[in-house]
Order: sequence, then C-alpha cells, then structure tokens
Amino acid sequence: MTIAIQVNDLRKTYVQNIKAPGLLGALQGIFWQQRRQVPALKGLSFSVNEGEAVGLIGENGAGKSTAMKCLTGILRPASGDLRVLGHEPWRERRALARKIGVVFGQRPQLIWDIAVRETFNLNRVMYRVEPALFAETSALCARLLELGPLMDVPVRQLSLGQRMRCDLACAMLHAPRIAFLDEPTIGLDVLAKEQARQLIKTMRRRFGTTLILTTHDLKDISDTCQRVVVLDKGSLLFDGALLDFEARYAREARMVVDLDAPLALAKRRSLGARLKRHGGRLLKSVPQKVVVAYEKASSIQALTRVLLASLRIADMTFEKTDMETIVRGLYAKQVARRAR
Amino acid sequence: MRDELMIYVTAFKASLLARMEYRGDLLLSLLGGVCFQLGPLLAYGVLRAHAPQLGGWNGEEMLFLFGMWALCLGLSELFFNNIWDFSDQVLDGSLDRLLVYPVRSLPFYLLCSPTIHAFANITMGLSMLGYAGHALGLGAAYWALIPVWAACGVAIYTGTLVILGSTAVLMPGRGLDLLWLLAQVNWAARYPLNIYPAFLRVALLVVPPLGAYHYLPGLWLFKGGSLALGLGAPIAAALACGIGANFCWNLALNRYESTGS
Amino acid sequence: MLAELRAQLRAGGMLFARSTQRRLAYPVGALIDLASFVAIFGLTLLLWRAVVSQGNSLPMAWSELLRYLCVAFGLGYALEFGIYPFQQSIRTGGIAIDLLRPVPVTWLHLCNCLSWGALQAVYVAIAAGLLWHWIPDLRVVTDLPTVLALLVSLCLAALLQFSIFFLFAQGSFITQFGYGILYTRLSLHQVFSGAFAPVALFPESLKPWALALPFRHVIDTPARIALGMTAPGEIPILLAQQAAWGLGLFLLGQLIFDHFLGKAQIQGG
Repeated sequence: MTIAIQVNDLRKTYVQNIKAPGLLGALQGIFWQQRRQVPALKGLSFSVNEGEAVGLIGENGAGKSTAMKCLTGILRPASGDLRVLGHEPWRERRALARKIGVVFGQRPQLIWDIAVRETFNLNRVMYRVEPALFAETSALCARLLELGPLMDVPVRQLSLGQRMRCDLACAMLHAPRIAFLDEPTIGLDVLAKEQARQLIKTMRRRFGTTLILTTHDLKDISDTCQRVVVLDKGSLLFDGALLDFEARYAREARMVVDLDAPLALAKRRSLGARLKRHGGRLLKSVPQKVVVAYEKASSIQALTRVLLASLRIADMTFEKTDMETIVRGLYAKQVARRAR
Repeated sequence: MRDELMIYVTAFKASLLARMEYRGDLLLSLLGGVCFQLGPLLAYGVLRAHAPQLGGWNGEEMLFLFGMWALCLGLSELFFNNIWDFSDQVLDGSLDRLLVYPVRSLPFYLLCSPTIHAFANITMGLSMLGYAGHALGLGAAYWALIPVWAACGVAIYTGTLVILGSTAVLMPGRGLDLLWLLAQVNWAARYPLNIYPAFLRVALLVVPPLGAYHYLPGLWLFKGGSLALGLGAPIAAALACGIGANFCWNLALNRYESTGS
Repeated sequence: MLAELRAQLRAGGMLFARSTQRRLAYPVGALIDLASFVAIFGLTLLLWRAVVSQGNSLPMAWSELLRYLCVAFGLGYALEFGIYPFQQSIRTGGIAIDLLRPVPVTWLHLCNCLSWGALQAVYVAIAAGLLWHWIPDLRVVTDLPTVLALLVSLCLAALLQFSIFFLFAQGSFITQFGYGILYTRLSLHQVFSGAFAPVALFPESLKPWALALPFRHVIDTPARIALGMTAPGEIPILLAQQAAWGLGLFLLGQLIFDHFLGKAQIQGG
C-alpha cells in the first residue's frame, strides 16, 4: 500500500498578542504589547495510506484545522517532517495543489458575484482537467448534489446550503488524489448532508480518493471513514480503526424497555438495586419506559432475566452507543483531566 | 506555457465578469474613474492659474507626465489591483484558498480583482498623451515607446505596491496604510520632480522609482536628456521592482499564519 | 424620553470607545497612516513653494498660504473618516448585524466616524505641537467669540463630512461595489473642499462650482475662521450655510437610507 501522507513530530506554534482591557489598555498597547506562544500542534505523528478515509476529530482548538493547513501547504510547520504525495507541502505548494482538493466549510471558493458555472470553468482550466474527466465529474456532482438548477445562478443569490454543495463539487471536479474536507457539511440540512456523503463515497469508490475529513457532525465520519484520528490540544489522543475506537471508548451499551403498564416508584428502586448486582445501571425510568446501561456483553443474559422477571414488557431494543455519545464522553473526560 | 497563460486569462475573465455583474456599478465606476482624473486636472488648473510653467515644464509637457501617470495607474488597476485587499485577506484568513490552487500565486492573485474605473483612467491617460504628443509635434519614436514606458510604469507601480503590501503579513491589520502612503507619494510624483528638493527627487527616482517611467522619459523627450536615462532607466527600475515584488511576496507567504477554520 | 436619550448617548459613548480601541489595536498602522498624512502634506507644500519661488504672483502671501495649508491639512486628516466598512457591510449583507443592534444604524456609524476623527485629531495636535516652532505665524484666532464660532464650525464640519460620507456610501445599495462612489467623492472632496488650495485661489471658472457645492464647508470654512481670514460679519453666514448643508444632507441621507432599507436584499446564510 502506498503511503499518501506521512507526518512525523509535526509542531506548529502561534504567537498571540495579549491586550489589556479598555481604552487605557489599547493606548498601552501602542507602546508595549505582551505576547504569548500558543502551541497548536505538539509533535503530531501519523501516516495515511492512499485510498484510506480518515476522520480528524477533536474539540474546538484541538489543532484539526492547523493540521489540515499544514498538510495542504497553507502553513509552514515550526518543525517536523511532513510529506503529502511525496511533496513537502509548504515548499512544493503548487505541485501538490494540482493533486488535492480542498473544502473549507467556512471559506468557499466560489466567485461571489457570478454564476456557479464560471467557477467550475475556472477550476477546469486551473487544474487542467481533461474534457472527458470534467464531463464525468461535473455530471456526477450535478446528479448527486442536485446542482442542475443552481449552475447559472450568481453565488450571492444562493442559500448557505446551496453554496456549500457547489463548493464541495468544485473541490471534486479534478478527481483529486486526496480530498481535504474541513467541515464540508456545515450549514447543510439532513438531506443535503446525505447527498454530500454520497458524493464523497462515490468519488472514493470511482477514483480511489484518499479522504481527510474534519467535522463536528460525527455522522459524517461514521458514514464515510474507516479510521479516526482524535486530537486533543495539539496532541494525538487516538489513532486507529473506527471499530477499535468504538470498542475502546464505547464501554456501555443500552437496553430500552417499553412497558405494558406504568412502573411503581417502589418497584423502580428495587429494580435498580437488582440490576446493579448484575453489572447494569438504571439510566432512565419514566412510567412506561426503562433504559438500562451495561458495560460487559456477558451481563446481558442476567440483566434480561431480571427485567423479564420484574416487568411486564411490551417491547425491548438493544442500542450500541453512538459516535456522538462516545466523543462527548471523551471530550468531557479530557476537560475533567485538564481541570485536575 | 500556453496552459499556464490560459489559467490567468480565465481567472481574469471570471473576475471581470464579476465586476460587470452590476450595471449601475459599471456606470458609476466609470464616472468615478473620470472624476478621479478630473480631480487632479482641476487641481492642476488651480496651479496653472498662478504658474503657467512649473519647474520649467510647460502645460503640454506636464500633460505628458500626467498622461503617462494616469495610463500606468489605470493599467495597474485594471490588471493587478487585488493587492489592495491583501491586508484584509491576511486578517480574515481568506488567503487560504489561494494557497491551495495549482497556480503561480502572485500573478493569479493580482489578476483576480480588476476595477472598472481603470478604463476611465486609461482613456484619460491616452487622451492626455495623444494631446501632448500632437501639440508638441513629437515623432514616431514617442508613439512607439509609449507602450514600453507604460509596461515599465505598471511594473514599477504594481511591484512597489506588492513589496509594501506583503508587509501585511508582518503587521496584520494595517498593511493597507502603507499602500495609501505609496498612492499619496505617487500622486505627488507626477509633477516635474525638479520642483522638489534634491534628496526627494533622488528618492522618487530610486526608492520607490515612481518618477522613473514618466519624468525620465520626459527629460529625454523635452529637456535633452540621454536615451539611456529615458529608456534604460525605466526598464532597469521595472525589472528591479518586479524581482523585488516576487521575492517579498514569497517571503510573505512563507510567514503567513492563517486564522481560524 | 430623557432616559431613552441617556441610554442612546451611553451606547454611543461605548461605541466610540470600542471603535477607538479597535483602531489602536494596530499601532504601527496608525503611525503609517500619520506618515502618509505628513507625506502628502509635505509634498503639497513643496508644490506650492515651487509655484511661489518662480516669482508667480498669488492673491495671498506665501506665509498666509502656508498657514492655511497647515490648518487645512490638519482638518482634512482629522475629518477623513473611515466609512468604507459601512459600504462593505451593505455589499456583503453584514448590515443585517447592524440592524439587529438596539441603536440606530446612523448613530452607530456616526460614533465610529467620530472616534476615527478624534484619534486622528490627536495625531494632528501632536504634529501641530511639533510644527509650532518651525512654521512662522502658525497662530490661530484667540478672541473668545471667534474661538466659540470655530468650535461650532468644527462640529458642523464633522457633521457635514459624515453626512456626505453617509450619503455617498449608500450608493452601495445600488452598485454593490463601492469604488466608483468612493473615487467620485474623494476627487470632488480633494478639489472643492479647499484641502489642496484655498477657494480664494481658484480660477474664476472654478470658483462658482466651489461656492455652490457643500465640500468647502468641510475644510475651507473652518480653516478661514481659525485663521481669521473672514470678512467682518461673514462668520454667522458661513455657520448658517454649514448648518444648512450639514443638517440637510444628514436628513436626506437618513431618508434615502430608510428607503433603501425597505428594498435591501440580504440573501443566503
């Protein structure tokens, strides 16, 4: 397997000016300014094989976007080795740019005042896209993202979601070898998000595109990536398969039990105690519903027996912990650890 | 090479289309361009009401200086005006986009913001040059060399703007002020430079060489100066500004620190 | 009513302070800005000195012209408000944010402009202090009634300048882009305000235009009052003209703004 991205001990530090508050502070700032070094990346190391799909996640300020900008050549790292498709990004920016596609959810590349089609044409020329390839990718994007009616509309007259769909298409027109997508589904409704994910998956299937995706919508990652990299304050917290990530951090699963009749308060208390003895935890108990959390698969049988014996059950479902809950728990743990 | 050129032509065309999207703006920009030239001409009228000659240069000779200045300013604004937005783009991080395009960043960047009022500046400049050439009975060499001087002027003015504009990376927030400073100095450089003290005259011919593309040719045309000064010096100044601009631009991009996601 | 006014004034004061703070956030830029002012001032002085030194006759003495140009440049710099962000906000739809604030948009931008002007006035005061020793006769009027008239004239000049800016900036509602409007205003201002030369020096063909347009009341009028260059009894007339232009254009600007606001299109998220 060819390595597409190789990152070794990548570091990047920002300098921040600290301003004293108020007008006096502003006046003071003319003569003297306090500065602070903020490490954004603290020795990041990982590699990505060609064709892999990697989700980059972390809290706000974890260093996701900085890493993305170093990888695309926008930022020059303070130190460390960095190779993307054999190029040192900041030094060989132009050569690399031809092989990658980039979406910045907050900074679309569409030309504001004119029709979407014009930006498509500009990208076709800029990336020197062969006519056959352009015909294929543009048709694919138009079909999957429903761009047909938007192509001749000036960008300024599009909604945020429409702009995002067009921007995603722009980044895919030249069938990039690596797609760097920084929050590509920001501002999209549920249906449009699904369309965007569909496009990403199709591009990967058709062209073997390597994917680096940062997002706060974890469904994007669980839908499109096999691997996840978690950053915390510029350091690597986890790097591995999505399944391993879930196995490591999703310690709990849930049973949701719908009841035939309301559960009395006293019975609820005794049920809680009995579940606890078998490794379960009564998470929620409303009159006709009980949610039980459990850690080990081995306790399922015992817990089920307890429930069947104590309750008149109408329906019962088992739920895996979703990505959102896992990551929320992980972030909360990190915040608590830092607070200590 | 052809492909490369095609990229810039397409980018310029798309940006020009964007500017022409607003009809009202198109008309007002042209009017603004005319006013922009009328302003200095009226100021010149005020001066001329009291001084028929300035530093030994008569009205038609001064029109040559004004015309060349307006033509170069107009051409620079038409093709390479984006540097005026550089400071803002450094601040809000929108330069990120440029850095992930597979193009030579400087020409691509400069080409992406043509201004419509430049057409008025170019027309006014050409009219003044035409009138001056006709009134002074200048020969074929004059007409043949106008494009050369114009190209030099565009390179000198744009190059200096890029050199100063690049500092926006070091001084986030107010890099634009340096460009205004240069524009103000450029405004004063279109008068015969011999009216200024020697140190200033030298400064305006060397750093930045804003007088090199009209004053030096003017000296050759009207005051018996040498051809080396009238043609060689503007070309040398243009080359120096071009190389300096490229160097400073690359330096700036390497020190660029993007903002936010 | 009084409480509402007090609240608006407090909000205005806060906006003024924040705006000043914002400008001071980039101290190097402020210094370059000042250098730019000194450059254009110095070069214009040299230009006029060249005219005078060639033996051309002027209707005013060089020392008088020098005094006028010093004051005119100081005023011009202090009153060169930064209204461009307003134009930009109209173009990009950012004006939606301004409309959500519980203060009138005009008030918001007036406070921004005044803070801009106040800071530049401080720079001018520093420059004037430094120049005091080098430029002979750089004295201004000292008798109380004229000083009071000068203060009123300065306030009216600031109001008029803001009104002109506000009015021109609204062209962005029609044109989306703002350069044409910016340059038209800038050129008219540069020639007719008196920043380049006192209106008294204008050739006869230009003088009627200068007198008919409002621009001279931004610089020429307060400069003449400051230097005692007015004819007896002329000051009240000048102040009345300044007030009429200032208030008239302010109200016109407000009317047009309200009209355009009803038609404004702010699309997308």
